[in-house]
Amino acid sequence: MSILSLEFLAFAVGAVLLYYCLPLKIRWVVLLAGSAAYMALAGWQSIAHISAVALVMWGGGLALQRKKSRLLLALLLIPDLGAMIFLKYWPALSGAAMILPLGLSYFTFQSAGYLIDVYRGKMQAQKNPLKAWLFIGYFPQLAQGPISTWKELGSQLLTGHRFEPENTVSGFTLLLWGYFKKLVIADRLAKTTDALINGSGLPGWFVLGGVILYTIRLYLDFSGGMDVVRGLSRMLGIELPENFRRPFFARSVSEYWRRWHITLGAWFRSYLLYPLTTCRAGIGLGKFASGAFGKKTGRTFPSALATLVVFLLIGVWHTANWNAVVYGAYFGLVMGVSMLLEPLWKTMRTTLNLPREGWMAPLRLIRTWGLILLAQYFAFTLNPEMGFSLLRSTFQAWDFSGFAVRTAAVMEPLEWIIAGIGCLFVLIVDILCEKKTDVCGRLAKAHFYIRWPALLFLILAIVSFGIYGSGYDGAAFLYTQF
Amino acid sequence: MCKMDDMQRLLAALEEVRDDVDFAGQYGLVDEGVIDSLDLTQIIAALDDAFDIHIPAGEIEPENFNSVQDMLALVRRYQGK
Amino acid sequence: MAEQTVSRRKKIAFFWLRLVCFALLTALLLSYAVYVFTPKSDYGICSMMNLYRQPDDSIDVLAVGTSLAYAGINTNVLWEEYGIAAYDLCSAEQPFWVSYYTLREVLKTQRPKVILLDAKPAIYTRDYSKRGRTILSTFGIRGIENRIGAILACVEKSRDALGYILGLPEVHSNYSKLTANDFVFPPDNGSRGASWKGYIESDQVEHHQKPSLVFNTVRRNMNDREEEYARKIFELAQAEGIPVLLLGLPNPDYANDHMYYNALWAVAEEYGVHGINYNDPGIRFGLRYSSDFADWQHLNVKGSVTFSRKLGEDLKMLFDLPDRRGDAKYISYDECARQWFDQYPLFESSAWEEHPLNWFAGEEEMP
Repeated sequence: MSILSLEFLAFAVGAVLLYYCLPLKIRWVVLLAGSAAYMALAGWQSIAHISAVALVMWGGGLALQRKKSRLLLALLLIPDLGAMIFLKYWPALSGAAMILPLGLSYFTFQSAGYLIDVYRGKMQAQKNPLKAWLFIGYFPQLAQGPISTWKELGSQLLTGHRFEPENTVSGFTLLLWGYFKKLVIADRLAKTTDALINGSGLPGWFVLGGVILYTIRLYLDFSGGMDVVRGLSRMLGIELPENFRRPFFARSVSEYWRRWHITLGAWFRSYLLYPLTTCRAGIGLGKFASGAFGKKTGRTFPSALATLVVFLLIGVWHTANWNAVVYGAYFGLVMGVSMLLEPLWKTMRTTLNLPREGWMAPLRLIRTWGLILLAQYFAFTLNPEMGFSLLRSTFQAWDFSGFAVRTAAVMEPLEWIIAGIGCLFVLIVDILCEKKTDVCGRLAKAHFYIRWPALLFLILAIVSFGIYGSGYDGAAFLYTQF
Repeated sequence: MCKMDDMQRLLAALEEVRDDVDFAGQYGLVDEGVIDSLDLTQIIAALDDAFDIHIPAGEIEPENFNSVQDMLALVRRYQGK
Repeated sequence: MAEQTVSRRKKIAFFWLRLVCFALLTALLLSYAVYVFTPKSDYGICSMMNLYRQPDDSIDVLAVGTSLAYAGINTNVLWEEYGIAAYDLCSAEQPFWVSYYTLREVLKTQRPKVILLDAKPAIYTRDYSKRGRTILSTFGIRGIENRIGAILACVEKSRDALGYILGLPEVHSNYSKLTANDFVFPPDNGSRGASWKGYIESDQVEHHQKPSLVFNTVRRNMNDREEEYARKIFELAQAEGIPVLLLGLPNPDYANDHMYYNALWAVAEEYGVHGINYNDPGIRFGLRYSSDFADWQHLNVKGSVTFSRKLGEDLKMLFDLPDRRGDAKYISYDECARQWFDQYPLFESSAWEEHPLNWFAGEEEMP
């Protein structure tokens, strides 16, 4: 069931109530039952696949603990990751339609991480297969992640949590905030993306504006979904890791990728990037490159190469089309090259006496935005041709004469105003969060006459201006079909 | 090999990676974001050069790199292998 | 440790208290939001909500049906000429099932002497009746069982009903059309005031011709759900002992309706219910198709006056309807009529005979 549906809300409320009604020791069973029901409702393919993966993970984990064998690890990871790869990419290659199990990528990555962590001796394998199932099947994280490690999530799931009113209220606030971002703003902006895809002969400013709005929309859609999921989880006393940390405050593309889809980046870093760069071959490559280019650059070379590979994979993970390859390769190259050239920039900075903060900060922000924006041309378009064509048209026909007509054709002025005010709110809250204010927590601790108006405002805004109900086809969360 | 030598070698290796960071006095190097993932991979390479040890990817955790003491402990663990 | 438990219990108790208060407040605000967003133009919400303001047992003639009925049955003429206390409880395209549930609701507080049932829904197909605004007309019903019953009868799949039962999913998109009036509770009935009796006039004048068709007795089956609920209405009225009069309101589009009306009349016969089809050319009452209609379906102001005079005459003849003029309980009818005739002075009965448009009364266009 979609996170946006009334059924999900009813399910969530029921789960929370049931959780706190039962004794502490068996609260994890409520989570298990709820998650199993949730998966079962998604279809037999979903529950069958995840149960198979859970079984392999549980059994494999115990086996790996007894015998740390690289071969065994490979034998376990291949079917796990292989099944995901097959289900995701076979339809694109063969044209056959396939039903993807709910949360396929997320539980696959999480189970792979579990196995690798056991192999690395970082954790004890779980003896109870049901508890192992719960780790990858925990229902809030199925639709869009985040991808958690056992260290982050495991014990939280299994220890029964006492009811903490403040936590519940804070979680509820976060949940509402997520719905606000998604339903009121992100879905409202969906029309601007459609206008770009379906339009032709669009003036440059229209294209640029549309791509910028797409980027904002994607952020609000994805981070809104994350907030709903994290808020719900917090109401159960379980803190899921953050997946977004105000990515548009990043001063560099690398920092952006540490703030955007954080857990995906962390997974690839822990389980792919580091092994690639620190394995014997990687170190050897580094030594070879040091000989050729000097120690500084040489040591960066394996990382740069591995970054390119990782981002190609991250790109393709999103969709099985050429756009994804362009997207991934672009970021991989940008970051790889910037890694290799870092010593050069450093020397330039010291000779020209340029600070990193202060007046340089806005410049770095804008430069980062520009680089991110360029990639977005290949994020929502259907193929690279379309992406390049839109990119070309951004620099042509900067004719503002049709401004009023064109913008009104996309959305009525009132809609623009609502979206604009919504974005302003998000900006203010994000700035507060960037300055380390825990907005949800503070609100939960505040007096009810401060908190209630805020919550009621959110609720009324969502039910009044949210894109839901008849007259709209609610845009599903963009990151669910993975 | 005596302790001081190891520490000095460690600091020298770290200096190669980031000459702008005062490793000796700091804690929370990873947690506070003083060094990033690129630095970590380079430190691994540098440690490989300096101590002739191979540290696997699984050891790249904040606990092992938050301070020079943590790093030294890590090096010690792998020196025997 | 004991203190901790006590203070924790207090904390949780306070939390529940606050939660309940917050939930109640939210429910209240959301109900008000549904009210604000619900369009209060002629969709039947206002006439339903206004009905609750009528004193118990004060309506003698209850007209139930579609926009043809609320445009054609001029309650002010019925009052002014005959002292008949009539109320139009109608909405656009109101199918028989909505009429059925509104009747059940009304009969809780009213005991009309006759129910006028608009025959027009006989022609509706199910798709025609499914449109959202039909369902919105149920939003004025207070009784939950009747409101939910009406909504469930309106939708094809029960799942679709949820959005309507909750209200907001269906109406919240009207935020761009809100006016200050939408926030006023109770509604001011499109500035018609509290004494309004459900009649909504149409000022346009469209030139039409009398429909030409062969008046046979061939029947065309009604949509099964319409028939089901027409029967339910007849049964309900029978059980309550209230006579029903089927009304075929005149409309230029009648040629398409004829055979469905025949079917409805046949069904009504089974319950001993009769009707008057004013489209029948045998019934002459000075109606002029060239000037009395606002469009293909609805009588305009002049048409409604002409028609209602005839209707009142027929009602007086068929049923024992007391003349309520002068009765203090019915003062709102006086007010309503007064207000209306002030707006349309030409249609006052004393002026009617002198009305320029009636100089040629009695002559109707030949097909």
